[in-house]
Amino acid sequence: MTTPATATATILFTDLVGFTEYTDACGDAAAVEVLDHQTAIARAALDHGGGRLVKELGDGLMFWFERPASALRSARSMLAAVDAARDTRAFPLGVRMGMHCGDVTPRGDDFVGRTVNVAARITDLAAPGELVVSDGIVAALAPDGAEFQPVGPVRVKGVASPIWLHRLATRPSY
Amino acid sequence: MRVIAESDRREVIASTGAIARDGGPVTIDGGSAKVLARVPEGTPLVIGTTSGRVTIEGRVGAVSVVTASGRISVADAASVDARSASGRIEVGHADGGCRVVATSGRVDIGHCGGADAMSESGRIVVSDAHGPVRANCTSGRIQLTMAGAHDVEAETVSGRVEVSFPDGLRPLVVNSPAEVPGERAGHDCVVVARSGAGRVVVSGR
Repeated sequence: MTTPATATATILFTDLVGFTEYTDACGDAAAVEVLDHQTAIARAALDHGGGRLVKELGDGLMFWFERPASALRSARSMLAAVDAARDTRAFPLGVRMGMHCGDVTPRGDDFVGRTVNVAARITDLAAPGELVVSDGIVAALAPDGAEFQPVGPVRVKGVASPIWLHRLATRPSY
Repeated sequence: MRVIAESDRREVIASTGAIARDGGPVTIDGGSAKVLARVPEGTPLVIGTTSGRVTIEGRVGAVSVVTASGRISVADAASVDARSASGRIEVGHADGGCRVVATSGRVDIGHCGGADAMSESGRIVVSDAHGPVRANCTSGRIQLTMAGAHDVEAETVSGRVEVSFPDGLRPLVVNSPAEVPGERAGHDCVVVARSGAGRVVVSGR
């Protein structure tokens, strides 16, 4: 058996905030419409950078990017598109995102490894309309990382040392 | 973790945990250890823990707290960014803005210069807002008491939304199915309030 080649990559997760409750309140057809809309926004955003949609996870999406810069461009584009759609009430829910970079191991079209797990975990700490990234992303983007604001160190299950988080929001916070 | 800000203190001391200060805020990486820290009043803080309650007593500067699991209480700060993947978040007083993310837990904010609050499965209460408020809740009630004419954006999927302003103020309520006693089309500030399955009430007091 051969071991799959591990390579450095950037993983981005999105999560639709309140999707389960929205489905309960508005029904399955409306829920499917939201998912389709989210996927359409994501695919349009990906046109701006070198990455791909890996898979859909219920109401969330997982993306792979070769570099953090293209991941950031796509994430920004997605957040801006969702905000614009929400302003016109065309999109009913907020989207939050988490991003981390490091080694990933391919498994078919999918990727596995600690980098994937950490990216998924930090998504839980983002607010709607917000991207939370690890310090690895900020360091890789330097000096452009100045646009991020520090959130703090967080311990992620299965990872020995704390991971510093930073936030990027498309809208100003109050 | 317990952090106490003291007016007569000049240095930071802590029982355990990694503490750093490189010209910026005091950083306390507590992990899951029980930490007691004492800091000078007005100290800016960045705090991270794995689990357990984080309590900040006394008056501190700008504070960021992030925990994977645990309740967060901030008594009095210049501004607050607090995030817990699982636990209630309380802020007593913040001169500036409060950014609060509680994945599963209630959010309680007292006096604040503005708030941006999110809770997935708990109510959001802001009881004395002196600036604009944005509140996003999945399955809980949103209750906002505005101290003046400040914009509001409040949204919950399955809960009630209540926004109250001081008597005499006339907010412009837009894009909302809100019940508004008196005239709906004021001009003092803008309110956007929505609920997927609950009542929306904008009122004076």
